[in-house]
Amino acid sequence: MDDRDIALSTARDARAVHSVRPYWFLAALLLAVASATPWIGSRYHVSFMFLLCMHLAMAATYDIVGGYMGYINLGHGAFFGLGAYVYGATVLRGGNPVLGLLLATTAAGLFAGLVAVPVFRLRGVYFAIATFGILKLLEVLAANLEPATGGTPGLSIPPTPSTLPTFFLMLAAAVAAVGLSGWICRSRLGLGLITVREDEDVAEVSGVNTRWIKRRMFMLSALIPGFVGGTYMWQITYVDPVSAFGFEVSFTPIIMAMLGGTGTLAGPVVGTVFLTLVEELLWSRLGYLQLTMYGLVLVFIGLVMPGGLMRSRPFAHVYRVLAIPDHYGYRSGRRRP
Amino acid sequence: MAAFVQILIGSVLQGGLYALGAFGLSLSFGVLKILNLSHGDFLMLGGFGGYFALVYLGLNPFVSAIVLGAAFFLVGIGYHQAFLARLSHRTPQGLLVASVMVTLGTALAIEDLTSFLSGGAPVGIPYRLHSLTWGGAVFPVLRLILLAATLILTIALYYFFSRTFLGRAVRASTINRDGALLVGINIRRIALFTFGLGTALAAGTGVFYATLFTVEPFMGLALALKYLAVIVVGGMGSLPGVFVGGLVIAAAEGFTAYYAGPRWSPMVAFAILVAALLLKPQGLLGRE
Repeated sequence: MDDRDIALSTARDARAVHSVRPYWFLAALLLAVASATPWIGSRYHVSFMFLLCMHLAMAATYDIVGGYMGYINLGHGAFFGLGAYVYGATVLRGGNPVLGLLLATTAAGLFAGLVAVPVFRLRGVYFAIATFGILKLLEVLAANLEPATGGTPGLSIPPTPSTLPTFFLMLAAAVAAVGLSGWICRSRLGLGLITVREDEDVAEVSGVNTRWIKRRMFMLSALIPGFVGGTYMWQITYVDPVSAFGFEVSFTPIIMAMLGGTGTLAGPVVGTVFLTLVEELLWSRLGYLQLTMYGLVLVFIGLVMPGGLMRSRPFAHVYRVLAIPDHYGYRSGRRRP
Repeated sequence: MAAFVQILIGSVLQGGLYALGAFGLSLSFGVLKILNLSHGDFLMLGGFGGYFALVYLGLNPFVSAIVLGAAFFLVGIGYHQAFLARLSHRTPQGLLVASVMVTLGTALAIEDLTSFLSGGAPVGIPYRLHSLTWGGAVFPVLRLILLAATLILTIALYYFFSRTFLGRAVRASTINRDGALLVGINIRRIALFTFGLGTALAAGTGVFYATLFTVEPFMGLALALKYLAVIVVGGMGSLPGVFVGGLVIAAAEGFTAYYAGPRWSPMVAFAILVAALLLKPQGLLGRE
């Protein structure tokens, strides 16, 4: 990129500041429609939106560490499962749902802080496998610590009469996750995260406190999944080691984020909406081989468009036309996914 | 005491199998700079292949190990050419993301398909020989033969990598890629060969593994975690080190299963990995 390009893109960004407002309106409209689902839609629509918001919250928070920071965290689902179990255990011991959610969120954050110490001594693919190990560790613990977790059969809590509170909590989690992602990609902290991804050693000698950033962001990215896990448990009222820590629940959001494009604000949103719709309309009718489909999608993205949908050529053209500013990471990402 | 000796013998066997699997993985990582997350699935497929070869064709596991090894050498080459070779020109971060996507996706697809086609139950090769009893301890002949086969294979690999030109070229490529290119080693071909060899080792090992223990469709990614622990304990790319790492992990698992119950043994590799990372503050990268 030479000086002329930089000048041009700066000018484009300056122009884009004014064109951002329509997107806020669009987001507000979508949110209004989503919030009205319980009144304008059927029970099926509500449960579909619940699932969508859950995937969205997980995918957008995965993107903080996995996308902006470039550390592939295959154990992101561990925070979800932990939240579900903590919520279940709290409610079974007579705690009210609010306390349960609070404890679920806190437990996920503290657990992330604890495991961050050893796992951030690894980089690259070793980090990915070690975080996968965290997932496996929690699955084994959940199956073995019967007094607290109910062992392999799992935990059940009494169902609640209304689905409204859980629906709005999940919606709030999704909005918070996307909002967090948006804040990160526009903030100084986000720049720090991206420098860690691009070249950690250079970031460190340039004065970025990489250790602080990595640990804090890992903990931050765990809070919302813990909350989501608790809300999921409140709604579904049942959890076992496989439904909390299995492949489907932990890898699906990661694959969604990767399909949309990690390290971008809109990537996880687009990937989640697309894959959740496809799964709901096509694969769940089939009933089996869903994991195979996800696997093949992943292979396809890796080979053909490692930057995801948002950085693929047709989308890049859309950004140029709409003059979406560069700090959302699209243009830089096309060269360096 | 008899139990102690038997666990120890079992651990040596299992450790040898871990080492053979992990060695192929760390070698191909050394040359390609891509960690193949689907490596464990080739072991699993080898185990299933050996099982079906015995059940439907009546093929002796030792024969099917060789046949499957040769077949998976070609599978590995094909996999490398079709998928991994296309990624090699990408930037380090792009390579990391793309390689995790491709190999993780392959692993998920292979595991789910195998589970769908085979019914998903764990499978062990029903091939048994008689046992010897000596000093109160029981030595199944099959285990002894497999132990010997594992040791011979390890020694053969050691000889191959220290004495032959091809083996030394592979090692040179893992130690210094640019240096190997400078002295005229065809890195691309070496990478292809290494990947084929690693896959063949995994599949052959898988047949032994299924004869001794059981294989199940969703074991592949968990095996990758064990291999990581083996490599962290033993050291990257060194055959004796990987062997020691495999023995340590297998013995720890064996004793945990005996004294604390088999349900705790899946945690052992992870605990050792975390302990190794905490005790070695520089982690894996500090040694390079």
